[in-house]
Order: sequence, then C-alpha cells, then structure tokens
Amino acid sequence: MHNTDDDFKLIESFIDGNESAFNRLIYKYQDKIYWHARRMTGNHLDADEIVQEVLLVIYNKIKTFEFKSSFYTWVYTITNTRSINYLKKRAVKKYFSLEKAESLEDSNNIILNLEQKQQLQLIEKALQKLPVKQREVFIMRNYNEMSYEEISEITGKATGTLKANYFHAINKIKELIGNEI
Amino acid sequence: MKYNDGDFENYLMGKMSENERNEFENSLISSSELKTNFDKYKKLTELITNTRSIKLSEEYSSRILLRFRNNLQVDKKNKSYYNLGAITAAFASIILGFVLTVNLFIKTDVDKTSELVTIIENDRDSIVNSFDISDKLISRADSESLNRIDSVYNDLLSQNIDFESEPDNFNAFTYDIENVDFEQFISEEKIDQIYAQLMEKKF
Repeated sequence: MHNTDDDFKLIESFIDGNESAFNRLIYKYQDKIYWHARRMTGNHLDADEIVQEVLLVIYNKIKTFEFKSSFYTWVYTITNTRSINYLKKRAVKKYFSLEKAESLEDSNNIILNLEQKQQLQLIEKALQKLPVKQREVFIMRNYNEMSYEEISEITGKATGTLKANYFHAINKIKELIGNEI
Repeated sequence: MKYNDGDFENYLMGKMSENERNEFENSLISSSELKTNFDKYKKLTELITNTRSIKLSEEYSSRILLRFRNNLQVDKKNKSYYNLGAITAAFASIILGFVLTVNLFIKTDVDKTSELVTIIENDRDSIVNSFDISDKLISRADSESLNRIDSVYNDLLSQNIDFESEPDNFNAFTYDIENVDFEQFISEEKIDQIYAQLMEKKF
C-alpha cells in the first residue's frame, strides 16, 4: 500500500536538493493528510489549515527523519498531533468566543457528490461527539485500516488502552448513527 | 445465542456457513433487539465505506501544493524580516546599553565641572561665613581699635607689596602678622577686655 523504498528514495533526493522530489512525496500523501485532519476536526476550513501546517512541518523536519519507520507513519504522527493541537486551540477560542460559528461551516465545494456530502456530514457530526482519544482510534481503525500496533506507534498509547477506546467509540457512534444523531 | 459486531461483520462479508447464516437470520426475525443492533451496525459500516471512498475535487487537490509553495515563500520572507528585525533590535540594545552605561557610570567633563562648581561654592560659603564672623568682631570693636586697624592697613598699602606676582611676600607678611606684637596697636586694657569677652563666649 505504501511503498517505503520509493518514499525513502524521494526523501533522500529531496535532502540532496531536489525540490520536485518533495512535491512527488506530498502529492502521494496530501489527500490522506487532509482526510485525517478533516475527520478529526469535522470541517473543511480547519482541515485545510492543518494540511498546510503539516506540509510545512514535513518540509522543515524531513532532514530529521531517521528511516526507521515508514514515511506514512511519520506523516500520520505529525498530522494526528497537529490535529489534536488544533482542536485544543479551537476549544480555547470557542471558550472565549473568539471563533465565529459560521467558520465551522463547509464553505468550499470540494466534494461534488451531494449524497456523499450528506453522508460525510452525518459521520462528521457523530465523530465530533466522541472524545478525541476515541475519535482518533476510530478513524485510524476504520478509515486507515491500521492495526492497534500501528496506532500505538503513532499515538504512543498502549494497545489495551486503544482497544478500550475503540470499544467505547464504536458503541457510541452506532447509537448516534442509529438514532440519526 | 448472543451475537456481536464480529458476527455481524462475518454475516455481511459472507463468511458464515449456511447453517450459521440461517440461524442468524432466524434470530434476527425473533429478536427485535438483535435486529436493531444489526441495523445500526450495518448503517455505520455502509456510512464508513461510502465516506472512505470520497475523492477530493481535482481543483482543490492541485491547489494544495501550489498554496504550500506560496506559503513557503512568504514564510521565508517573514523569517528574513524577522532576522533583520532581530539584528536591528540587538544593535539598538547594544547602543542603548552603551549610552546608559556612559550616563550612569562614567563621569563626563560636564559632571566633573559640576562637581568642581559645587566644591567652589561650598568653599565660597565657608569664606563668606568667616567674613561674617570678622564683620561681627569689627562691629563689636570700638572706634580707637578701628582707627589702629586702618592705620596698619594703610601702612601695608604704602609699602606696595605685590602679593599676586610674588606670593612669597604674602607668606612673609602672614608670618609677620602671626608674630606681631599686638601691644603696639592696642592697649593692654583692651587686650584684657577682648580676652574676657572670648572667655565668656560660648562656642
């Protein structure tokens, strides 16, 4: 699914000064970064901002990449951390009423299919009602088909904790979806 | 039999044997609770499957990298401005520190002159005070004593001693004054009177 050798070659090429290698690397993962951020935040504008932040972090920190894990895991760790930080900042802004309610609305027609759009809104609404620790494991399990070991590597949490969080998440989200939220 | 999400998944994926499937379907008909749970699970899995395959519009996807490159340029420009600002601030701090150090700890010529003026003023005041004492003594002296002082003063003037160009003359004169025999200028009776006044004076 994620060709690590190809990724490593592109990283080395970029470190050697080939800027287009970075573009190719990002083009491969940008949609995944976007969707994780979108599912975590529940709206396009926040996801869009996180994508740009993550790309900047990757660009600046790629020289510190140690080639021990896959590039995908590394990118996913950055994306997940940035998303959680963003949610914390958003919660603070919301608490002090600095964020306007309409900014959370999807202002960009990036999804053209109307049915898909409605389904996306339904799942996003349900996901936003989960605690962050349950939300992240639910997204990684169901949307990225990651094993608990992979999720553990990204989040730094024990697999037992992740399983418990997933159990609570799936039960809660089933109820929310079943009752149409 | 109690069914869980794993069983629901096996049923939906067609992983159950024919007997298992028949048994499960019978349970769905007989148990409304199982039916509700199964429907919720099915709805969720359908929702996940459908939303997992959503593609971003080509237009948005192609703009992600383009915007990033633009942001990178702005970021680099901001960094250079920031560096320039930091250098300017550091330079200004050094200048400010130098000026403050000079003003606070190093005495300038102006300061020295000011101190000298203060010392001179203090000396002047002290001299003026001493003159005040002389004036008081003179005011207490009688006309005969004053006449004698005037005559001594006139004698000195008539000798034309140049104190300014020849300071030694001044020293010689002061030495003479210290050893002068006051009895030639003032009567013995007056001397006793002055001593008596001095003895009574409270210093």
